[in-house]
Amino acid sequence: MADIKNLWQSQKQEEPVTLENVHARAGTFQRRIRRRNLIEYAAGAVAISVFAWYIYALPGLMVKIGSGFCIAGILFILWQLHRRIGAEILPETSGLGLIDFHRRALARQRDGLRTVWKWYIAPVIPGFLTMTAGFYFDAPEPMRAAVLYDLFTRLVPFLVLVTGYVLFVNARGARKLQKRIDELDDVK
Amino acid sequence: MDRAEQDARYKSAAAQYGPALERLARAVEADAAERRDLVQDIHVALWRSMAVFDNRCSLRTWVFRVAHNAAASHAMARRRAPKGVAIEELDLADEAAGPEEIAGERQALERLMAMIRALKAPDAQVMLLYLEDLDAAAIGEVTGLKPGAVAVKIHRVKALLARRFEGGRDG
Repeated sequence: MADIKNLWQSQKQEEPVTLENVHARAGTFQRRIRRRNLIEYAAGAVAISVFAWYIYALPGLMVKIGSGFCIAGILFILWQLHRRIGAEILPETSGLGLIDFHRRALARQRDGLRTVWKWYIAPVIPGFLTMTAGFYFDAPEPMRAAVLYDLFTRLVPFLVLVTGYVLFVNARGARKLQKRIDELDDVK
Repeated sequence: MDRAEQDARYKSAAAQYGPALERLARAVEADAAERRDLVQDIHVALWRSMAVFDNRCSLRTWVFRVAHNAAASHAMARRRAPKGVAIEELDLADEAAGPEEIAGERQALERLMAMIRALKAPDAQVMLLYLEDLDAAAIGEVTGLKPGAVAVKIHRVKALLARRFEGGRDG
């Protein structure tokens, strides 16, 4: 058995990594994280600008209030993203044993998927419902039936389908992750 | 800890365990370009970890934990990563094949690495640490596996290696 161990350990190191390489790569990694954060905040800023414009341009108090709720919801989502990204692999956690490290990473992903509706979908629902009610009540009386018909035949089914699909995919992903966590618990 | 101290600790660890880290990357990643990236990622993880290393475990344990975790993250992020099999499954599959002659060292190493890549993460890690000559207690410390589980896995690793590379001799 010593032969195969010797053979394994006799492999030559081809490209020793220098400290300069490490510093440069760590810097690139940090820049990539900053860029990713910037893109997320920029997307949030665009969405907030749109709803701010609604407050300014659209008539009707309820629509304006709904737009305000949407802005609050987006701010909450951005805060959650910031918080969750911040909880990604830290140097401290990389010193855990493989099983614990793996389990922690999988559990974090699973919890993210299980609770996505709470922090990614639910925050914008009050704003959406208020705006929808605003569109209905702000419409002239004879037009309300048409507005209602439009909402329930187009917008609501579309949103229900998209939300349902997102929830289904996330629940399936969470189940798969749980299975892998159970496998890790079994070997420990 | 200041940056100079972090750098010094990293340099010392990299000088001591650099070859083992490269062997780990070779075992985990078959693609040459991806492997170079992985080696660098492992070193970056090690350098970052040195900022918080507090000597609560030995340097060797810490280095192997950090390196194996970085390698596991790489494998998890890989698209359509193979699920891997347990040692015992590979063991059973091997029984039908019987011992084979290995022409040269290079071929033996390639076969060994292919075998490691086919294993589930904890099993592959035990085999790699065994090949790096860590004893059962040290392997348990690095992996977080219970001593009994480590002993069983090492026994299977030894049997598998013996059958595949030493014509049935166990040792």
